[in-house]
Amino acid sequence: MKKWIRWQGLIAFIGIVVALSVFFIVFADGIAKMAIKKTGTMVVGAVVDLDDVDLALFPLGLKLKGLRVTNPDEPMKNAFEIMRADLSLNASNLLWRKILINKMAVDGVKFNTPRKKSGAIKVSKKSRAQEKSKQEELKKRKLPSFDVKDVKTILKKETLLTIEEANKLQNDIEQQKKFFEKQLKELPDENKFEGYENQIKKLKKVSGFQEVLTAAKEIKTLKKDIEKDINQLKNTRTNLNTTVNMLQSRLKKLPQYPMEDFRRINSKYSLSPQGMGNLTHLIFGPTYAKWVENGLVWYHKIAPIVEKGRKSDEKQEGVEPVRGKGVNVHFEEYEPLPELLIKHTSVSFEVPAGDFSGTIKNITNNQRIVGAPTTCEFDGKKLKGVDLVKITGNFNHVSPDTSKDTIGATVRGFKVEGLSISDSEEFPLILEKALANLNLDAVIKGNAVDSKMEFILSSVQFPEPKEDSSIVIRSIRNALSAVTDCSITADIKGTLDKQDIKIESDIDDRLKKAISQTVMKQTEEFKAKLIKEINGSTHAQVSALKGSIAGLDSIDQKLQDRLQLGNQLTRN
Amino acid sequence: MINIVAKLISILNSETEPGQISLAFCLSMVIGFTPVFCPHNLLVLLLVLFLRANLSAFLFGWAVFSAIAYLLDPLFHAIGYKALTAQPLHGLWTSCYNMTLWRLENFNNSIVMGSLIVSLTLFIPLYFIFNVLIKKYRGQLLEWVRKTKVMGMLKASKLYIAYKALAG
Repeated sequence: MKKWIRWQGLIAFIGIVVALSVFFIVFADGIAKMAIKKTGTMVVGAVVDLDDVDLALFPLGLKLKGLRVTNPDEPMKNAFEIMRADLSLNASNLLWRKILINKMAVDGVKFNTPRKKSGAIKVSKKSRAQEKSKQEELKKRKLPSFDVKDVKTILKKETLLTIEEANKLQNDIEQQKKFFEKQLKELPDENKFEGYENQIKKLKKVSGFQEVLTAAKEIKTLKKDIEKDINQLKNTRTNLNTTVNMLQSRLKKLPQYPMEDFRRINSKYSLSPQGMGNLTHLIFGPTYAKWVENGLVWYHKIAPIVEKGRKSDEKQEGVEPVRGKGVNVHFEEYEPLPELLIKHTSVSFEVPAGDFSGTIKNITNNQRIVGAPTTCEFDGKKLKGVDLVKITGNFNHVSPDTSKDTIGATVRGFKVEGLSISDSEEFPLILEKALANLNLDAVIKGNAVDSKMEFILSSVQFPEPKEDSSIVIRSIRNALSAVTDCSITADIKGTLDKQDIKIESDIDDRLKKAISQTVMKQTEEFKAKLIKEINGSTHAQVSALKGSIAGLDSIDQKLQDRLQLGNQLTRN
Repeated sequence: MINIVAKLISILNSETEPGQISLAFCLSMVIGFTPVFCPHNLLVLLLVLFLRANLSAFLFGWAVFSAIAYLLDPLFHAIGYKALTAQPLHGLWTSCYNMTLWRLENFNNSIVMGSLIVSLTLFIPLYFIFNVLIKKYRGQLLEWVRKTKVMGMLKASKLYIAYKALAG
């Protein structure tokens, strides 16, 4: 037995365990810091920085300092930054891998702060492609042109149907010409008919009964050959005539194409007062769509964490594990607890207008177990440049398959200064001054989005129109500069993946009235120039085609001559 | 690599009890196959140190079995997943799931469970197999190996010098 026992091994084991414990205690802060940064970066899809972590063991608590979360869409900016976060953890539940926090205090939250270094992380080709398609989608939402483009520039960019068809026709004529010329070479020609004539003359000269009979027979055979040749020539001529007729009918249709070209280009580039009926949507739409998109990007990031209690998540059949990680199979807990629950969080924001604070209740990844929704309430009363801001939210995923999220916001007496409404290159618009009230009611029920936002603006000041702007833009700016108060409503309906945004305003009629005359005049001018340019570009080509078709007539003439020779021979 | 092979030869040729070497190999299989940060590996470590298992054999085995574990990973997952989702064992797993010790062990992970099942199943048979192999090596192969031309060449090589240095 003694041979198998090593008592000093027990001391070594105790030494190793003690060393490991000391190592953990000494480096616990660093380990926690690394874990938070790594997990945060993975969830957000951009770098998460953390200045310092202080992990207290008795009682178990965590203090975070300088947490910065990069905005994945703008890696040189932080989506938000937290100066301090203080929380106490339930140690016994941590052994069960459950993070339960009764109270958490988050101070000094700032949004959109600049970063010294880019917070972008390497992205896969797939996500880069998704990002690209998203950017293209945004580009499509750009403001339409308010300027009448130069017709020559447009025609350089556009492929005219007239030119396309004329080129095709020219190509077909050349091909047919080559085909019939080749046929002409293979068909019986003047020499062949002369040969027939000589043979006949020779046969006619014979004497003697037997010879005459043989000559008559041969002449009959020759006649049959000549008739065969004539038929060949006739068939080719018929084919040629059909082809020429077809090409000519295509040529006749050609003058219709410039009108089609005109209609197409006109509808693409010209301005129409009808098309500009909802100018508010055109002006405010892209900016608002961008806001909605940003909001939904964050919603999509957070939703999977909140929705973890979904019944379908529990089915793990056919799960493909990450190599070396495996799959965790979950069983029923006698006293179920979520993996994460922060019962009460007090948050204070630092915004340029001052301090803004509120509370969030029941932050969890499994509301089904908690049995209560995540709610939030923020308000700011003594802010600079705004009388009242109140934001409420209720994110109810207690029954994950019938989830309902509601967000409400009320802003009163917000003094707007230099707010960029449109950053379009062609029509940049800044709201210089206004006093704004805002009401927002948004509901996301399952996958369906229904939101209504109302802006009521008074004491509005838009900048004076610049001299270098186009006449249409000047008209819009003139009309806007006369606006002193207005209301804008933005409705969003649809699904989380695709929404219809409808923006309406009482300034639509005023704008439409102001620009309709200008637009009409511009449109007429554009039409006239466009027709003239299209006709100019296509006229020469149509004339050239007529000449090419005429080239086929000479082949017809040659066929006719050969037929005449053949017919003369058969007649004689 | 030469050092590792030399170390293995050194262990096999030493006077150490075959049982101590076999035990070290079997324990190293458990720690090598299963994820290293599982609490049961503390017990393995305790057994290695307390039961006079050959430490060199243990460290050598740990390296070898860890490499094999990487290749067997899909097999561990499949076995572990099958065991964890087996209906007759559901009650047992549910009870374990509600016990702190087992939660710490992360037993409900398919790879932890699979690798543990494989290593514990193979533990006793492998112990005897290693024992027999070591005895056979020492009884029959060792003398024959010493007499071969290859061994003669090896004696003059870096490998033998390394072995000699280790053997003292």
